[in-house]
Amino acid sequence: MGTVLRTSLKETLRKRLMVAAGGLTFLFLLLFFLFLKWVGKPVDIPGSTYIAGLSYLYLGLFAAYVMIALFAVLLFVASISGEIDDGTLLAIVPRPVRRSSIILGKWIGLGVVVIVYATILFFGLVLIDQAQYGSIVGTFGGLMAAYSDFLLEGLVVATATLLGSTLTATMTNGIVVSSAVLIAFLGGALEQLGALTNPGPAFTIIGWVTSLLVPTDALYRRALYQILGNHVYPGAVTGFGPFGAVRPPGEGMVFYAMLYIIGVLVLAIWSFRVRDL
Amino acid sequence: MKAIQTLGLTKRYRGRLACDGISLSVDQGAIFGLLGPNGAGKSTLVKMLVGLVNPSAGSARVLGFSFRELEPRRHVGYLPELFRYQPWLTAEEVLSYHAGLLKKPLSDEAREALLARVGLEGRGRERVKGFSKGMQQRLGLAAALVGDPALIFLDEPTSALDPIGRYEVSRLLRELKAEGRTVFLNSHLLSDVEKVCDGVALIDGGQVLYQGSLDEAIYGGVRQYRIQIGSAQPNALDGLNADWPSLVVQWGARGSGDLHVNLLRDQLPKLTAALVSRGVDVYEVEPDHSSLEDWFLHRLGRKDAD
Repeated sequence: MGTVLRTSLKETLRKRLMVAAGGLTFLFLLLFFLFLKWVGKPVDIPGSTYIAGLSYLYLGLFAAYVMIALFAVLLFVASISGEIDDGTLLAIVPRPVRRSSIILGKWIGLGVVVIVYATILFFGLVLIDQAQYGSIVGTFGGLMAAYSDFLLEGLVVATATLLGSTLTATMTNGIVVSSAVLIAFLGGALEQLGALTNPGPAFTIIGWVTSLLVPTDALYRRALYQILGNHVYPGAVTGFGPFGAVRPPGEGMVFYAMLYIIGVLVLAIWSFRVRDL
Repeated sequence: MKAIQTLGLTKRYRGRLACDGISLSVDQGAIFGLLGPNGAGKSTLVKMLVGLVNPSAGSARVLGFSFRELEPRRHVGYLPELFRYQPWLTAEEVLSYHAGLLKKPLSDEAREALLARVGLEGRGRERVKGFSKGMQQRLGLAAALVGDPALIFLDEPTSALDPIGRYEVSRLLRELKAEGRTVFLNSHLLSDVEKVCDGVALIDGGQVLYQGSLDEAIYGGVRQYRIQIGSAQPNALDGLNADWPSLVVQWGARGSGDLHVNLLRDQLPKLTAALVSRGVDVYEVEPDHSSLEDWFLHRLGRKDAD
């Protein structure tokens, strides 16, 4: 497994993926910094600086949510199917290495890259926002909980994409997982909308179902709540409507996401083991 | 112990039989050729033996181990038909990667020696993406030899090589045999197989049509031979048709000629002795056509018997 892991990491370096991702992330953070700089601080009304800081951080975190999901999909989408298509796996699998080790090696190797990417993006946004508007993210524990939610989001997408890569063609996999993440977001938005307007059960059920299918949106909203929730500043997330976290998922969603990752990873191992190459 | 022993190995793809109860055995230290037309099931059989395809039924032992275990793979090298290596690695790194998967050390000297053996000396630090198809196939051969394998599966190992490369691979195969390794060769190039193989199996429609020695395959039946003779007395050949009814004489210029005759290989000494005893000079005896190709086509029913 170690050999596959190291080679997967080397691949991201050799293909200049890290350089490209690092460069674009730096550009994104620079633009965020310039945006905040040019927008400036609001007029001196009590609490307005705080609300502005929260609002712009919310915008940044929403972009991070999308970017992390996209990054994980693109990084993992061809991890197995691409190597089956181009034939490189045909020389690897006959070696005395279990197929599960190949899957785990890929998952850990590329998963580390997703974690590094999510870490830079998350803390980059928070630090730039804080530099402009001061400390606005509640407790350090809340910040770290939000950070772990973002990491989990990246790993959920990565693991689901890895499973898809063992099952189907690269392009199909990319479309299916990207669509699933989008559907999860829309389901989550409906659930929040339901909580804000008419607390009918249909919207809640839709949100629950989509969260169970792909818990990315639930993790994102939980992260939002950790940083921007009403307990940090009353009414902060209500103002974001269906894009906020009026009804944040509880800790159970974190455990579910962990179980989801493990379950999907086991499925990916099984799927690859029975696949003819 | 056989290097490979399969028993009823079967692979079914959505109702279509790619391999239908294949049972064959390969001796250790032999070069074994697997022949068959496109879609016969050759690559599927090899892929089952190296763990790329899960069989639907049957069993196999590779180097004495069940082919489902990891252990035999420590002693097996494989060059796939669709050979591709990580384009972002150098040739040296590809070999080190395979050594890492085998958990066997590979010194710089051993790596360089492997590359030199396949004609890639001095190219080890180049990225694979800059390699031609032929160079990638050579690299694949080197990768298959990492870890000092006792058994090497080569699936169409010369498909991308020029005539020089094909010659070098033939020489390499003989060297591997001399080193006591077993080579399982899957190839469409019958002339290559004819040059190097000890035994062959012919499969078609997923079934084994023949397994045995190459000599038996080629020389086991009646074949047509051409015998070049010098000038002879007009009645020197009289009566030969009594023993060899198929014998036909074609006289050429300056009194020399060719005899064409269908017979078993064992009868050739008797015929040439008879000619010499009648005062006929014999200059050359050779099969009329490429031997393995004829046999291959006859067995598959793609050519009428001569």
